[in-house]
Amino acid sequence: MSTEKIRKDFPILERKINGKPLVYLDNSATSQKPKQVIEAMLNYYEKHNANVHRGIHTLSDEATHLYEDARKTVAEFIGGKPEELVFTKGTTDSLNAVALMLQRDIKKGDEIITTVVEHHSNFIPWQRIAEEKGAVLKVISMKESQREGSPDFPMRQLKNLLSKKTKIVALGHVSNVLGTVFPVTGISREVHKYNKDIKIVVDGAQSVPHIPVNVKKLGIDFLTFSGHKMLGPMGIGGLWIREELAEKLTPFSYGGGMINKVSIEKSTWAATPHKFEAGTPNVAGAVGLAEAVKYLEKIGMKEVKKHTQDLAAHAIKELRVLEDVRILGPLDAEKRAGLVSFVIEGVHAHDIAGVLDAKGIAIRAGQHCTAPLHKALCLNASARVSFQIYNTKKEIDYFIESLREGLKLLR
Amino acid sequence: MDSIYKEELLETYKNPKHKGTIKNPTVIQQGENPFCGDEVTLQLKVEKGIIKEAKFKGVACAVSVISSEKLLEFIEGRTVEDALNLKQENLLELLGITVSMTRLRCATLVLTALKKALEKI
Repeated sequence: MSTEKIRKDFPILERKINGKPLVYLDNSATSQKPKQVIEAMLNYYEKHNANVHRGIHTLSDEATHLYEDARKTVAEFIGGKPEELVFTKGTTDSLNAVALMLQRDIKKGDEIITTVVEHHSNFIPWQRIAEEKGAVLKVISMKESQREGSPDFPMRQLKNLLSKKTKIVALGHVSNVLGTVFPVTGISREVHKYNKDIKIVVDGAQSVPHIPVNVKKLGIDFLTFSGHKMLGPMGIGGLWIREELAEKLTPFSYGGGMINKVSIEKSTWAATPHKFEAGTPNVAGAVGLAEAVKYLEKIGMKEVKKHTQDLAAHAIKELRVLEDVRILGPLDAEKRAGLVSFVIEGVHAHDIAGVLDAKGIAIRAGQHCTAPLHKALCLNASARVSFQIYNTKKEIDYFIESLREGLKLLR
Repeated sequence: MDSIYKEELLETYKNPKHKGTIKNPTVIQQGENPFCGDEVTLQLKVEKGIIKEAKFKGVACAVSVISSEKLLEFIEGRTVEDALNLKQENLLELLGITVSMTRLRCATLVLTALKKALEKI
């Protein structure tokens, strides 16, 4: 499918910002939505809305079918089974749910391994468990991946940190700042070779929208992701739990829809995944997310990866021509997903984003919810451009040209 | 449009008169914006309830720098009580531009630090 044709599916790309056509380069924060997704949600509310798994009536049955079909679509998209896929509010919600469930088995002195690169949502939950349970949080410094041109994951550092007390290894698949795709398959192989009971939790917020992801190939225990970053609506996301674990784990939230039997003395739980979905679920969100998945599948995730990687390569090449620019993460776009963060000596990232906004360009500036990483990089803030299937090289050229003009103003 | 990038304001950003430090300040206060990592250190010299001198230093964006400059310019020569009574609206009036929701935090960084500093006196 041509980019030109794809762009026509995204109504928001028609918008003008400050009198200029919108150039949306903040896709790692949230992506835009194609009309297919918006229409699917509208159609659900106009024709099928009812509560799921509860009613005998026709509408409830239709809504239940739509919801469970959506689950199947999304689960298969990541190489999983419907029984393994729990709908949540998004990545943060999913990670907190995992932390709530895993903390029950954490004892004083147990160890959790994570990295300095993590988004706060994959860092604070583990830090809190460590504080509450007297466990130890071991943080991989990732020094290697912070130097220009050396993005490799420090496998040796990870191996050195593994111990008999390690219970959880939590890491992101793609860094939302460095853009690096971490070798999760190799990491989980090492970790499970050491001890197959160590739980591997993967934050897929930046990988699932950009590259082909298959949970079986990754060999992990949990995968978390957000719908809104992958052309779907806000307020819906996924938590994939490996089947055997999903069957064993006790729910993290209680209420309607997740029970088997309830009496004054005791309650028992429904089968997975329903035992993890207490309360009325976000059916319209699930329907929208499934439509987004179908849209991405039609293009093909290999093509999405190639398109966004090519854009990253082009952005890196053009940014490096500018003076005093430092690219964060690997310079080789092959090792990245479609996002590029950078800093410009003497210019605050906020001001870069500010002058670009005046030209209709949306980019992210700040710490991107990664304060520990920014501290490790000795940075107060950075700027980030991130791409999706509808972005073009021409847009990147316009971004570079506008950045040049902006820098003249600020310096 | 973020009208902070007007020429005369950018002049203020590039050459802020109140950037620096004070010899023997009465009070030093740091301000931080955890969302973007901006840091401002505020120094005040206060004599008989009057703010004689005010300076700021730190890593900050244009909104934060211009806001600091305008605020410190305004409070110099005024009483501690006057400065304590300053509100967000007053600061925005001094800035004279519209600030987006996110960048309001950049603009008010210095005001929050000022209030904390004055409470120490």
